[in-house]
Amino acid sequence: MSPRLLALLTLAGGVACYDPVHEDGVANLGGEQPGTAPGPFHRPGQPCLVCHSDDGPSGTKLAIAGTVYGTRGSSIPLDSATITVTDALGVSRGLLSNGAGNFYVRADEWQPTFPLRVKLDAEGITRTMTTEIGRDGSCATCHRNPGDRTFMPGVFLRDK
Amino acid sequence: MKRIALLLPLLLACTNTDEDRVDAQTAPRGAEFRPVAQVLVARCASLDCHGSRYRNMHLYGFGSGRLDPEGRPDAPETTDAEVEANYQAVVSLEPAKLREVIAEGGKDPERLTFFRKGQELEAHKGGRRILPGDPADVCIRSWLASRTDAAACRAAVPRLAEE
Repeated sequence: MSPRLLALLTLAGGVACYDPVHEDGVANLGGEQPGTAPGPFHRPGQPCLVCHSDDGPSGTKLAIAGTVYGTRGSSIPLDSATITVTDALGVSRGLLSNGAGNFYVRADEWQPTFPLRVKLDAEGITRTMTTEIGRDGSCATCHRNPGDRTFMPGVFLRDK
Repeated sequence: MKRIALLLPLLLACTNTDEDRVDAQTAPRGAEFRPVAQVLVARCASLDCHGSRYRNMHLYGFGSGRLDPEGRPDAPETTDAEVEANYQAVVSLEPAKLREVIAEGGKDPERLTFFRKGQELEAHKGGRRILPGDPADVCIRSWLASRTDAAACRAAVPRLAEE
C-alpha cells in the first residue's frame, strides 16, 4: 500500500469516527472535581451516559445512572435511597444510591426496554416519578439543579 | 398608480389570514385538541424525547418543557398557549396529507408519519408509544375523524384518569 493511500485511509477513518456533537458534550462537562477520582462517587448531577456509553470515552458502559438529592433543588446528596426502575416489559431493578447520591446499573447487567417508570424510596417515603423516561438512561438529561422550564430539578425525595 | 391598482388584488390574494392556513381548514383545534395534546404530551413529550428543544415535533406541557419561561415541567397544567403550540407542531408536519385524512373522516391514519412513529410502524427511537386499540390510539383516531373522544383521551393519561 502506498504511503499516500495509507495517509488518505487514516484520515478518512479519523473523520468517520469523529462526532463533534459528542466531543462537545464531553468537553462541556469540564474536569473532575478536585479530590474525587473517576469512579462511583465522581461527577454527581452530571449526565452520566454522555461518557459512559458506546461513544465513550469511559470504558464502563452504564444503562441507567443518576444522582438523587434530599430535597428539591438541593445539592445535598441522598445516601442509601432505593431507586426502582421498571421497564416497558415489566422488569424491575432496585438501585442503591451511594454517599454522593449516585446510583447506576451497568449496561452489561441490564438493557432495559424503554419507556421506564421510576420510584424512589428513602427515609420511609416513597416518591413516584410522574412521567416516564422515554429514551435516555441519564437522569441528568432532564433533571438539573436548580431546574427551569426545560429541566426538572435534580432527582429529589422531598419538596422541602 | 394604475399598475399598483392592478397588482393590489394579487397582493391581497397572497396575504395569509388565519382562515387561509392549511391547518385551520382541517383538524379540530382548541378545546377539541386539548385532550389529544394531553395524550401526546404524556406519551411522547418526556424531556428526553419530544419535550426536548432539540427534537422535531417539539411539544410543550405538563411533565414536559414549558412555553412560558416562568413555567416548570411539573406546574402548571398544560396551558391553552401550549395546546395551540402543540397543534401547530403536529399539523405542520404533513399538512397536505393531514388534510386528506381529515377530509376522509380519519380513514387510514397510517398515512401520517406522526401516527406511524407513535405505533412504531416505522423506525422510531422512542419505540412503540401507542398500541393499536389502546385509549391513546382511540383518542388520536377520533380527533382525526373530527369527533374527539375526550373520555378515551383522559383514560390514556393516568394522572387525568385518576382525577
